[in-house]
Amino acid sequence: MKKLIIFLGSVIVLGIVLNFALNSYIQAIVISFMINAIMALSLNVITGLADQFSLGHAGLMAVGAYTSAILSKEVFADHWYLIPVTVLCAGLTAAIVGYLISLPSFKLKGDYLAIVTLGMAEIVRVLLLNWNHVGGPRGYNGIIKFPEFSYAYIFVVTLLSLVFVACYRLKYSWFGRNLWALNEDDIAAEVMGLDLTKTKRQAFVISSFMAGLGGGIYSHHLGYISPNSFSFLVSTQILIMAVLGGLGSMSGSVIAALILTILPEALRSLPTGSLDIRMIVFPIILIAMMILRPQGIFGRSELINFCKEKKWIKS
Amino acid sequence: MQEFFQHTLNGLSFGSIYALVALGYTMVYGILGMINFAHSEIYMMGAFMCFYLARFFGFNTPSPMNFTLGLLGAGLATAIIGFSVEKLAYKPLRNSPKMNSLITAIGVSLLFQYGGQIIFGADPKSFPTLIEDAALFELAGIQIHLIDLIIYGVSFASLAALSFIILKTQTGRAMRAVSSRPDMTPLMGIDNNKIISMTFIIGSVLAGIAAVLVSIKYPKIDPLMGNKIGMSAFVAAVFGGIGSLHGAVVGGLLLGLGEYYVLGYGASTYREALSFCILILILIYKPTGLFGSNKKEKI
Amino acid sequence: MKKWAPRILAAFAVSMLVFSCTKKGDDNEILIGSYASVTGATASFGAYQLNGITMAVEEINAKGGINGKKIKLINYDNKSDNDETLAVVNRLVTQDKVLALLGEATSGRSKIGAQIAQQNKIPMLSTSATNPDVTKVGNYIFRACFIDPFQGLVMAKFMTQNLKLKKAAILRDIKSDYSVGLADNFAEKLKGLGGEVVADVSYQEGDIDFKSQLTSIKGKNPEVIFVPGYYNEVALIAKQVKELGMTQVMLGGDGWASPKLHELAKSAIDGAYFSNHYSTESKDPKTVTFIKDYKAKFNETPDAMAALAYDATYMMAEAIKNSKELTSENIRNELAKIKDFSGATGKTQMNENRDAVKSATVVQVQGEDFKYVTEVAPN
Repeated sequence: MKKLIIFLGSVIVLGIVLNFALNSYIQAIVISFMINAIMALSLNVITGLADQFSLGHAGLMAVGAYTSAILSKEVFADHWYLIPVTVLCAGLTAAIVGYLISLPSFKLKGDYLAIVTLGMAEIVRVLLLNWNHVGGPRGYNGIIKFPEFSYAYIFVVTLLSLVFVACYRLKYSWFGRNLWALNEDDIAAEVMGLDLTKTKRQAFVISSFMAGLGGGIYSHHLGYISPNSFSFLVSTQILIMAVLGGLGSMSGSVIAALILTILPEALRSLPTGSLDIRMIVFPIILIAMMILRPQGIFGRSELINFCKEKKWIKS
Repeated sequence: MQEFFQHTLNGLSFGSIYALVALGYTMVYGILGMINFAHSEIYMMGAFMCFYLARFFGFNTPSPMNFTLGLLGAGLATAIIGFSVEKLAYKPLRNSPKMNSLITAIGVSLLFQYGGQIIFGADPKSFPTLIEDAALFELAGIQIHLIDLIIYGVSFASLAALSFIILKTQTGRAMRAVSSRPDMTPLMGIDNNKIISMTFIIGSVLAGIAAVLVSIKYPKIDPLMGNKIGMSAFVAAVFGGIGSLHGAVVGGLLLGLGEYYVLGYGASTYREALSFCILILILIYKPTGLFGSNKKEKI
Repeated sequence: MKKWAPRILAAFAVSMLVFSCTKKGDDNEILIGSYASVTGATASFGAYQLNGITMAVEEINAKGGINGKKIKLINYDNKSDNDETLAVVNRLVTQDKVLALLGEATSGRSKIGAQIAQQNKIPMLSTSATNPDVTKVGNYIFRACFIDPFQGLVMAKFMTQNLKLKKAAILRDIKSDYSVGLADNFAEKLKGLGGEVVADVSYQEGDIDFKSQLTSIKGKNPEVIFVPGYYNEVALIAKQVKELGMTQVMLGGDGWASPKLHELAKSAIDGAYFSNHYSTESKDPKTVTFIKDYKAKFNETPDAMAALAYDATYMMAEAIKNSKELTSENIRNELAKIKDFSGATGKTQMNENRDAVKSATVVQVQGEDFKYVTEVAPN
């Protein structure tokens, strides 16, 4: 606990320093990175720890984003200090939706689950497209933001740290071990008395909650959301981050999110003229990684283990 | 009543396209057990390759000859592309967990989409009219167009040819064997790699043909055109039972019809959701789809 | 945790600081930013917008720049995507620190860019966004074209008075602010002129098949089909209208204005009318010169988007020239003062809502050309 507070404190101090040192473009990237990290962590819980392939996290993010946006605009009358409340509600709503999704889905295995989650995300997106009250396809505009970068930063960093610590401790808890057992050999785990469906469902609900949190901040970060911000492509980008970091590695997700948030922006500065190579970089990284190093950067272990051991190649 | 008939015709026409593309998904899943997300991009490449070939060799005026050339060109191009994708991206992962292949397939799909945007330009292009569309005759007040008849005809012919190959030829038997027990087939003297490549090639050719047909009817092509069709065709394949050829065709036709009825009598914007609703319902109640087979899991 | 936390933080902070090093601008240059949809669904608009702006910038710089300083144009492609628009406008305004913004061609994305521009007090001049909401975002947002209430009135008037028709069916693109706004405006004005809207159906940008919507329209027997969308879908709709054997005349708005319309639709769209910002047949000397120079430079006839962008750039240049000091606030004030500006698209002046007051030209599609039919002046 004490370590966490020290860490948090130092990061917040850093944030206040950064507030003065950076322009709002970079500040936006920082927040973007943290949102991506939360999303990657949420996906890692279900796909990394529980080995249930979810291609629909963008849909959960959308649920969180719209919930939080609607609450801010309509119920809380644009009071920015209630943003944390709306984000929390966003997480809860997403968790409920996740629960509903998980009800029929966990009888299915592997690929089928991927398809169902993809389908659910698309259905969410289409429903939002048709909901004219929130702008439908033209998007929901004018969502309140934190008035100062430092407030946003503090909030998001706290949230990210909490999510990270939660995931980290989840991984090494008895629940995490259940998930690992399920991962390794589900039939054997079932024989040992593990209720597979219930465990998977719990993992999915937790994952959805975090995804909802990420979505909630997202809408208050951009100030504008539309159903097309939550397409299959976004689910894929989150997946790439989780896979790059290593499925099952929490610190890996955060670092991968950092790399993959900064990379497109850094590439924007490249003088490639009218060619936009940024979007090609993502799939190339993905394919190369799958062929050359499918376990991602950290595999299943954490950064801290890496620093202790010197075995960097095998993991 | 006339409206219903019109919707039915439209639905069948689009459904045949879904069927052609769904066959590709289902064949690859049957043989490799992986969902080839990149299949929709092979479809897209079929359209673009035909576009460029037509421009390069100058056969962009309407005539039956040009039409056939277009189909052949697209088929050849997609065969090569499908073959290469399999060799370069999927073969190295054949022994890895299925999730890796899935992720790689997504990567290849994105690569083609964004690469296509860079190489071909992201703005839509106008596909040459390779065959003049004519209203042939009237049936119950609806005009029947040549293009639609061609689409039905080509789809049907392709299915017939494919069925013949799978059921009656040596290669087909080998394909069925590989999809059933890939570990045993080398003992039978079957080269797995060749069969897998053959499967990809056939699936890709079908997608290429479908792309040309669609592009003649709706002449706008762009690098992201594979997305919607691919998604719906994939749903059709799962709906019909992934791994089953008949399933893919029936699934495609039914899905096409369903979408058009929804469009006609409901809101156009729910169209995409429809495919997924059908999909999810099917997966809950009959996970193996309409014609899929229930494989018992051996412990 | 204690061991690696400071290391990670240090790496992060360093990378951020390195990142934030902005290039020092040359003091002898005037930084103007633009964001255009050069690729993506409305790529034609963005490409022509960029052409118009680039041509104007080159001409101005060739004549010595503005008050001796050359313009440096920084353009980003927003890929016809809303999120990308957010990112690039943010970058232009905060990282590249432009003095003023030109863009965008479409209303939806202009609205998004406008929010950022207004927040950061950078004047933005949209080249062809016609939805009234764009300039309502704030007093730093301007536009170089007419707005949809006017455009809707123009087409409603044309339909009832020139074509003498009463019943219209609307086919709108619900994905676009522009289409929805124009459709609503048209419907309202039409009813005011005694007409009737018999059907109102929708599609989405990116759709290729509209037979279901058209079949249901067919059943309602309209005399006119109003399609206030963008050229890609309009072209396909025109083809399918013909395929279904429908003979109603099609009407539309400036979203049709692209050479791609004919390329995709071929003869199916001949005879349809739409409201545009100018006509290539205009005898106005400025228009004629512009068309000639554009053809020489880009080897094709300029469309309305290019012409408007060209004019917008010149308007911006005039505002900059009149500014005593080169600050964003001064430029904004000068933009608001534009009265008798005369450019390739005719005479323009800024009204108190920061919208341009201009006349609209109704043209008819005939093959590759848009033939002048009539001009409607703003009242």
